[in-house]
Amino acid sequence: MTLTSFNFLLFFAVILIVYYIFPKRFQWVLLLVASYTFYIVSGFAQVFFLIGTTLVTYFSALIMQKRRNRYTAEIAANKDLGKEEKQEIKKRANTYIHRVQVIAVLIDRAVLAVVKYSSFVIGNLNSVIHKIGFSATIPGLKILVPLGISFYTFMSMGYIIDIGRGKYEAERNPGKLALFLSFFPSIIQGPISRFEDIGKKLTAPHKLNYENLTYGAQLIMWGFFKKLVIADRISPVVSGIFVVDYKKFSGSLLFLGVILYAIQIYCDFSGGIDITRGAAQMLGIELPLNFERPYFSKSVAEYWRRWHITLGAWMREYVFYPIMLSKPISKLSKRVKNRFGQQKAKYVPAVITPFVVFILIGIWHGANWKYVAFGLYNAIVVAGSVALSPLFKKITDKLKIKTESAGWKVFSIIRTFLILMLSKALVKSPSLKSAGGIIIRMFTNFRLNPFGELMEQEFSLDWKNYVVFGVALLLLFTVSVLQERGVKIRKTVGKWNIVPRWIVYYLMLLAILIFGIYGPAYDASAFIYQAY
Amino acid sequence: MLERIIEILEEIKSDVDYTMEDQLVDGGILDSFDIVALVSELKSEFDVEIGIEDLTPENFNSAETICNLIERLQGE
Repeated sequence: MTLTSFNFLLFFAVILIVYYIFPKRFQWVLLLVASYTFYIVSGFAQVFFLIGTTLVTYFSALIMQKRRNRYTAEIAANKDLGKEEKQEIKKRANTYIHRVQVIAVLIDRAVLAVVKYSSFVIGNLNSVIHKIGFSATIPGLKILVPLGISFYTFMSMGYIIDIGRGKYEAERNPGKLALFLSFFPSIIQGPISRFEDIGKKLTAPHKLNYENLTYGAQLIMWGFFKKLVIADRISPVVSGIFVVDYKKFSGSLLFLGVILYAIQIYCDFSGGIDITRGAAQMLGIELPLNFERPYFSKSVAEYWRRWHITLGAWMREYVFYPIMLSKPISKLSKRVKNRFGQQKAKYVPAVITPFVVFILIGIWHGANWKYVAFGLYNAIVVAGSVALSPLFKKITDKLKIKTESAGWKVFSIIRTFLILMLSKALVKSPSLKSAGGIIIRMFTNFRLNPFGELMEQEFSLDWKNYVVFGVALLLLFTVSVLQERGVKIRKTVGKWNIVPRWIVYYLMLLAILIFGIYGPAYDASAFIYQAY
Repeated sequence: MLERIIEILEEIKSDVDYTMEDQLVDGGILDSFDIVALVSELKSEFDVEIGIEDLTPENFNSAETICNLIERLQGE
């Protein structure tokens, strides 16, 4: 049941009506039942992975909480103890909590590793075995990757680490924790929420609120528009270009294909997130923002703060900071500082850490060498820009370039977009080998008119569809520019008089109904990020 | 202590009025690399253990909130 399917809309409409009729204190129970129903309908066997992760998360957090409470009670009962004795008690408690935390996170990671990465590892091992001359083959595990496992596992790990750090109290009600990990609008493709942000909102009573209903519905419609009118329209073209025998296309068409893919993946993923956040808002629950017009970024580092924001925030909190503040990195920084000064010391860890973070982000997307290359590429760009930033500053100063001017900003946006295109080509190519070939061809086999070639290829799209795509894209661009300038579109439209307001709503609805691309049996195609 | 914290902040990033600024993190003035450099300086200067759980915008938004954090950690 994908978010754009008719079944989902029907399911959501029923839940929404019952939700506001239901006694307020049990609304969250209804959401939990709805979430598990949604998940079971999507695949019965997969639910056991979700239940397993929930149980590990729940019990490990409770054990850590119990130990922390015992430590607090011990300190309270022994107020006369000296500082050293107090620290000894704290150390004992922290060691125990840390052990539980590590075990629970390892279980989470092990499950994710087995279901998502075992076939990749076994496949690579087999090719090594065959290359050195053995004929034996390690049999692969036939496990269907459970829906949304990367998303709920990361949420579970974040929660366990937070409880271990003593950021907030562990949830004592297993149902409430289960709802946090399974909330149906967001389980398919995030956002990767944090318990401290949404835990209370999910279980609080919610009154029917006109603003939440209309703003949520607007966001859902916008998401449908991005996904069905833009992303799914251009999808066959992108799939037609990124094929194993890509050599039949000119480099210019491949380049155009990468740009189309960048548009497709943004509209697909952010459209899905809009539907998720809109549905949650209609239920009175505010989910975190996951996109902030990433293609307007002026650097790759900024792009990663605006694209899949919740994954970036997760990585910063649970990977970046722990590595940066670890003893070896601190020691290294100190050494560099003593020798070269504070400014240089800042750059050393800043150059090392992106490699860990981005390779992890790459692998998070999937078990394939092309994702590792994608991570490496982004790490090189981010680390390189940090390391070379003093040099860039010198150059811009010397050339007297006003970095605050509009022209420079536009140049930076286009430069960043082009740098990102290469990483998009890596992701979309059928394999790492073909990715290399595609990228080289993009720059070596130039043909003046890629649009003409696009029309000649007939990727099951006629010129009318390209016109619809172009107009829809123009609308998306206009809305994005307005948002960049601080205009709150939904609020603005919401404040208009009833006639123009409803004209906009109807036009949007009609645009989706008439120009949306629907798959067989009125079931729209799946989301790209659903597979991650 | 506040003066010393401002000195450390100026070493990490100059051209900011740390006596007035109260949006160091939320306003995007200090990025995560600056925060890490700042934490390691604060740790060695004031001999405190700053954990990852302390790395919140509320604790690092101004020189004063950083000062409060150090005082709290020294008391623990």
